[in-house]
Amino acid sequence: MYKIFCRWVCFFLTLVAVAGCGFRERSYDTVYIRLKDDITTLDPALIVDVDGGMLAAYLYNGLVKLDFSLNVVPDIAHKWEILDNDTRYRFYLRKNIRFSNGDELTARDVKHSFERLLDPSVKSSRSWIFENVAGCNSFMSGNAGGIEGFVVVNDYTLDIVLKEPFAPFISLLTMPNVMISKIVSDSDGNRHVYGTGPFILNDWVRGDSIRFIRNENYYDKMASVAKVVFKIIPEDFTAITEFENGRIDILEVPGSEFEYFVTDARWKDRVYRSPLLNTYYVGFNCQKEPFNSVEMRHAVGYAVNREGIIEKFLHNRVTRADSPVPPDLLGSKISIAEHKYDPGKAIDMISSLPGSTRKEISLYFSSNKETEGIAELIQYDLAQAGLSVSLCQLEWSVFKEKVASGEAEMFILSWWADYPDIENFLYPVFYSGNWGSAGNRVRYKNEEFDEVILKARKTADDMLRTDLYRQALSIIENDAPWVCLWHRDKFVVVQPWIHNFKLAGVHSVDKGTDITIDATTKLHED
Amino acid sequence: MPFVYVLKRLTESIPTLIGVTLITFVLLKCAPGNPIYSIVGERVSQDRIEELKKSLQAGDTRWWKQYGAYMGNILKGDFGESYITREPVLKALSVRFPNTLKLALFSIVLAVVSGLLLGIISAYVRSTFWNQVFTILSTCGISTPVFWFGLLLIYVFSRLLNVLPASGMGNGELAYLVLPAITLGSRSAAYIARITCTSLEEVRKSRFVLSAWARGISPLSVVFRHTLKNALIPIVTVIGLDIGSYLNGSVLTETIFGWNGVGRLLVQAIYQRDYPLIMGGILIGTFIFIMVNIIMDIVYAFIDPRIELR
Repeated sequence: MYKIFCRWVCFFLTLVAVAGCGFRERSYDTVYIRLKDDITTLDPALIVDVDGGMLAAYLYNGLVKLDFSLNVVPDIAHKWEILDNDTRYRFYLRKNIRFSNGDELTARDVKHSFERLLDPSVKSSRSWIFENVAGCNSFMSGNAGGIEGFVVVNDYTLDIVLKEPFAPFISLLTMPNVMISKIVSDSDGNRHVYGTGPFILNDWVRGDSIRFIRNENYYDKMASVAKVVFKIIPEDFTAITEFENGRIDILEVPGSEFEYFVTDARWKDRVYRSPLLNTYYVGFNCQKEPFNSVEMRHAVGYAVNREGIIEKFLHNRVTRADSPVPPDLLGSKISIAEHKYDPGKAIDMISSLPGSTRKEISLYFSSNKETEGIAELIQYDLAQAGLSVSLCQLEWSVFKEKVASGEAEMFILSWWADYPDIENFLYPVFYSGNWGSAGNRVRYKNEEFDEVILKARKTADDMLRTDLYRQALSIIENDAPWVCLWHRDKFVVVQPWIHNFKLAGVHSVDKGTDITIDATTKLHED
Repeated sequence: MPFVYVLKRLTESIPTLIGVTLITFVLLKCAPGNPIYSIVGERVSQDRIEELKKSLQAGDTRWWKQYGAYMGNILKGDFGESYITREPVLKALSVRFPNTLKLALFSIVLAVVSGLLLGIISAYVRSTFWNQVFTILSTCGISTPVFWFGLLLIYVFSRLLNVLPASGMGNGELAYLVLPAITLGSRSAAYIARITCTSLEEVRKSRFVLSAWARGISPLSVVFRHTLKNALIPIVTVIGLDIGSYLNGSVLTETIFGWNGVGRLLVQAIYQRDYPLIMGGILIGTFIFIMVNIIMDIVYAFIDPRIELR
């Protein structure tokens, strides 16, 4: 009997040993990056997810791009001018930029690419990027064959004409959706999307991996690594195992293992941190009882112990938010008062409110382990202040529907930058014309704010515009439609053989050209 | 005979298929949430949402009309395309199905071989110690949660020993299949071991087995040809049920090991309310289940000639 058992064990171990041969080899001209989920598309017009935007930056270029300090710098356009009272943007394109199929990029390709975004048959949800471009509405409603606002002056000059001045327009052009692509259908009817970026899509096995190879004809600094492989690994524990075994080079640190990576002797010096442009908040439906009362909204703001949650529950992985606009965008231009936790004041304010406002409130949030914990802590804080809160946890798509329709009276949500401008954290989320899914999910309406923000959008002068933003922010501070919670930072851990790795506050900044691999680092360790 | 039988069974399965699609369709319509919110991102005007919703519904808002249109397309072989990725549903499924099939077959082979061996040994071994070992093993196999067992295997074989990869499918190397297959097959193996053991214990007391021993037939022949063959029916039932469910994807195993199979695809589709993908996946999954059942019935007849295919 014992013999049989031993034979079995031997058989199993041999199987494991035979099977295990060969899988460990990896090449050191390739960077392996983990993705938690597959991306939905690599067609720039249709990208809405963060990872999709990150990958698009490797494959495509825009007229302009962001550098690591989030300044708008030249990309395909080597320079640009703003003419006709700030309504005409003239872009001078570089010559000899080639798509990966060999065709040269001209102003006509840029125009086509932009028109695709507005083409009703493409069904892009990002058509709002060009809502200020002259002739956009008549094109989208099918009344015009082209868009009069995109003017090809010659092969290397393109004009974009706006209906009215729109100050943040140039930073809008850094978004992945307006990166230039060329779509060609082959004789079999298969669609190919070509870009001009530092990498070319080599292979995409949906649900498994995405492979990029270096574009040898890239117009700018050529990538130093020959390939980039994005591996889709849904489970965090599995991803960490692959990272520790050296089969993943770059890993976004999962929240559950944060403590491990920042304390472990091997990894703590290999963890990079970067603030991201986002704000997490508790939103109120400002049109519905009890949160149509400003006092009530302020009271909740005083009652929530953000510092406690950040320190004890999130282990300082985030930066406290005192304003809807992240500090990196405010810079030194606008100073914001610290928003203090004051439970005593909260209790006083709540008890002085009429009894009818103190009925049970529902707090809506999406089903996610971390958000669930945060919601429970907020529920506890509010209970201490005399408000009874019931938790309403919903699946993401249901949650978004309830919030967009205004059914949710109080909810936990976040807002992420589309482009690095203060306007992006004010106009979409607080302007009264953007109620619901357009961004203003709190259904906030203040005519004074509307007037200020609309004026700011049209003001080209930086000083004047900053002043208007300051006014707008002070109105928001008084009205408190959000309780700002925190700005989430990004933590990434990289292998010792990866050099020149940089993190940016916006996901589509890095084009993957800086990273180098020094395989000798690995060999020394072995 | 089997050909006519299969044809008859397939015809009989048509109402099942229609029923399943109808129930799924109605359930999806009743479920809260809307695919549009997975498509549009965070900033899109309400008007645009209404436009996109209309373009998804393809004209009619009444659900029975939509269902009719859907079934009409299915008959033409058009399963539609995913709302989210815009990939044709059949293509999305056909990319993943071979992976699911590979994992399912490897797991079931592993489960059958180890389950049968353990079962036979435990039925014939007289030592109380070894019997207890087998009981403990099979109880553990049945009661261990799949996700925990999978993570344990990753911890031991990938993280500590680093002899097997923890995720992905490589270029089809066997190494990538070992851990997922063991994880998926362990519970099945334990069930098969138990059922083999009890089933054998019943059969071996029969008179024909006793007479086989008495005739001096070799022990191997007694066990495999005389006893096991007669104990096979319940074992085959368990195997059939497991193959059917494995072929429809195993969400937990696929997620833990980053295995690119049908189960993970469909769960993702359900989260995103990707109706065409869910419908297509369930329709094809049901068909596979029906096919496995038919094959199992044929296998019954093959094992036990007293069973007649009618």
